[in-house]
Amino acid sequence: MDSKELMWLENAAIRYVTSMNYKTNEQIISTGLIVDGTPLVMDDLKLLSKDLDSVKVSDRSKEVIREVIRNEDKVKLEVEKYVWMIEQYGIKLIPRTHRDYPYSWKKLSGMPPLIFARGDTSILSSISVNGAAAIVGSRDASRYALYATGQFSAKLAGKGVVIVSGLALGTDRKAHEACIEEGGKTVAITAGGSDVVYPYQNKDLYERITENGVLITELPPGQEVMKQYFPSRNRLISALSDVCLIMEAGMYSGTLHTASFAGNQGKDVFVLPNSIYSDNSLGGLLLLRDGAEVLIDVQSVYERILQVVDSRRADLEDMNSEAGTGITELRCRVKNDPESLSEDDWKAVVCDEISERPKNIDDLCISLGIPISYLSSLVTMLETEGRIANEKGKYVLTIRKG
Amino acid sequence: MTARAKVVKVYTSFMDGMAPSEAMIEISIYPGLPTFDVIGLCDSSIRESRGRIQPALVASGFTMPKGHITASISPAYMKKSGTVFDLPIAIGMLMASGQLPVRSDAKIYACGEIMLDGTVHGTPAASLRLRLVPPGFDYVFIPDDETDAARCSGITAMPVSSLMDLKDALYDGNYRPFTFNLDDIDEADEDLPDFSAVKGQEKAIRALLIAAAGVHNILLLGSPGCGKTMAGKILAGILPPLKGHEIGDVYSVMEAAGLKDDPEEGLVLSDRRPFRYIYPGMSKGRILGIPSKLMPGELALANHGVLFADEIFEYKHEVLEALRVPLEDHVVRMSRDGRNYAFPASFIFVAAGNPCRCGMLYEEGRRCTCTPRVINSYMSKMSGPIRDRIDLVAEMRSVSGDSLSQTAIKDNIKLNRKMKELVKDAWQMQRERFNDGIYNGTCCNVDADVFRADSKVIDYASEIAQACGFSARGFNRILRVGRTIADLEGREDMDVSDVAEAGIYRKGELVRG
Repeated sequence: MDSKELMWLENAAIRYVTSMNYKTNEQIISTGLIVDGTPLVMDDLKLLSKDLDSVKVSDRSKEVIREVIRNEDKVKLEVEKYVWMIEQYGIKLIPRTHRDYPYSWKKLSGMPPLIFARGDTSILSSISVNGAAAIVGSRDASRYALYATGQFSAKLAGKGVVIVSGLALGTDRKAHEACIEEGGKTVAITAGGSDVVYPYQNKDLYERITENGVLITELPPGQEVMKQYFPSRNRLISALSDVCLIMEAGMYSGTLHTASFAGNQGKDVFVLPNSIYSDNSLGGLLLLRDGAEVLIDVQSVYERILQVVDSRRADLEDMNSEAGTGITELRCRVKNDPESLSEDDWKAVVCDEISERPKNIDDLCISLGIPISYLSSLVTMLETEGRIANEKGKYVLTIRKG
Repeated sequence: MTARAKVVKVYTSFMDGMAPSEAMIEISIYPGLPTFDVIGLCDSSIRESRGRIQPALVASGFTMPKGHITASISPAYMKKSGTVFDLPIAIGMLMASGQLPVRSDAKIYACGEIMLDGTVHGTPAASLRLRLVPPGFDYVFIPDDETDAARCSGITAMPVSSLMDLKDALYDGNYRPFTFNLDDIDEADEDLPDFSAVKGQEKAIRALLIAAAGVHNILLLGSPGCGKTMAGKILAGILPPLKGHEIGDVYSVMEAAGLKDDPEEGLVLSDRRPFRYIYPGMSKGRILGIPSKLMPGELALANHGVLFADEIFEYKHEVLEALRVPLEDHVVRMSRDGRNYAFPASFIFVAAGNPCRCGMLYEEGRRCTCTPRVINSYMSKMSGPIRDRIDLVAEMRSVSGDSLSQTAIKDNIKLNRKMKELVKDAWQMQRERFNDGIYNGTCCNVDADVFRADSKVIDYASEIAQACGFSARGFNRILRVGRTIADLEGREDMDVSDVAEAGIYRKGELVRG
């Protein structure tokens, strides 16, 4: 474990042992006294406390800072506990700066700066190109809702969409199971530490997800499941997804929390229509009355996801052009030494070329300056790999599947 | 007067529509009141020959035989027409009346129309007709304006210009036949297509090259005025010149269709491949032919060349469907009176069409005004079986005016020569692979061993086929085109990159329809 990760853990420990929360955390960081992008740790706070009066934070925050410094030993102890558990369970740390940190969370405020994960964390970053659907519903769902959950989960997973749910009983369980059976990718967000299996009936699923999907939580290892964590967990579920499917929700269901979070975060909410006489469906029906969309077929959901992914693509490309020195370097070589490019390099260049706007193959040929014969074979390969597609005679990037 | 032969036979051949047929004319002269009958299901053009022959004989210094003259043309059950029988009937009469210095059992072939002054003229469709002249004749006479036709048929014959010439030729040692052939056909002037129309359309140019190199049928999609017709002409231009009998095949069919007298067509004997243009407004008979007259249409005229079908999605259904047989079997079939005829029609089919009703689907800048429904249904007018026979699809779009003007003639010549050279070499490779006259695009089945495709290539081809969701035929198509691409590069063994490149010419948009 490197020092950076230790710093993140220390930050988490501060947040869970003392009354420091995200809000205070961000407030202190926003003063500019601490380098942005690094976690707030004990040393920073100590530095601040030397001249606390001149720091422009609220009085409550100042009180919190004092409290943290008083509890320094407790924090240290907590960090040690975390380190031990992380090694014990093979838990991965994904801070905000990590490349697997969900892109959509960076756009929202109040998202955890550090995630604890078990399983294949690359699924999280893949959401930005594949899209994700949250499938949630009540724990004692009707057979109808469960059947629909299985259907929608499997079909969306079959199209490459990541299925996000909360690893609860009933709907959540069905959504995860159907996705895994389809060979799709699933994300479970739990309301306890990564080592905590809750509910115990889902122990088998817990293991399957750590093998075939990814299990994430904002809570540090060893943290027991507590009632107040559930709504907070629900906001993460909706934040991670592009659309939110409500399979069944009673009048006072936690699922409604997820729906309202989704609405506030600007995600589309689909509700599976159900009988007005069924006990558990009134919440969902009220959502429909308030303007949620009716969940009828997979295609319309999928198309909505594609729209979201499309609009995100532009953002992503900006990000890539900052991070991807690779492509800039390749571009350079195309100009100066085209012989040195391998087939994969050329493919990357072709993809980059059409990422700006859809292009005709003739345009590609001219702008890249390679023979049409070679370009044709590259394009076919990219097409069979599903990375690009032909639309109205022009090539576009696809939403990647698998 | 020498001993009278009861019956004299003279041989000739005539055209039944575009189907040539052999004929034998028997002439008998019996003493009696002078009569002259021509029998054997003749129409009036033949019966009128009596009126031409009599003055012609007199004008040439012969005498009209006295007695009952009967000329019977067999096979007598076939309807006959045309003036080709004039000369053989006249020769038969002269032989029967002993006015020619020749044995009455000499085997003579003759054809031609006689003028009143005794000169002999050619008749239409000569070259197809002359192809039926079998060896074994003692004398073969043709009108001297049918020498081009004779070259196409490769016969040994003596051209004559009048009945007097004929008499002279029959004296001992005067018969000097000439063996006609196509050896010294002048090479056609380099027919320079205008590449500027397809400038900047690399995919289209490459597709044309592949189509020419492997004899693949091709579909060009693009807006009106994007250079589709010119692309078709380029394709015809880069094909290797006609060789050997092909020159004759092309000439004779064109001649039989009456193009010799058509001022627009200006038919000359040359090794240039035909480029035939059809459009939806053409009559069905003109495109597909008229069975009752045994006249095949543009399909047969395109034999050994290029058939360019403009606005492919606008044809009547029956016309489009009728293209299936020529595309599959390379013949136009017709049947009449219980007999079946097949006319060769082996061509590269170049179909051109708009990608949608307004045609602007692929255009940059200009907006397509079609609804998605129209776009989907537009191209589906072409039925599956026809689509299946098209190996290559290339999208085209208009090139802006300023880049059009930049093409120098010098570059045109260079590009044209280079492409010609590549196609020629590719054809040579296919000649070694298949029997003559079969190419990658026309061979019946795709055999991995013949194509020299290893399992990696086959696997990748089926992967592409699967990804696009098409059938075994689609898989074959990719292999065929891939083979041609390998031929263009002069490689014996196929490579994965060949099929990968071939994949781009599949019918992406059409699958949807």
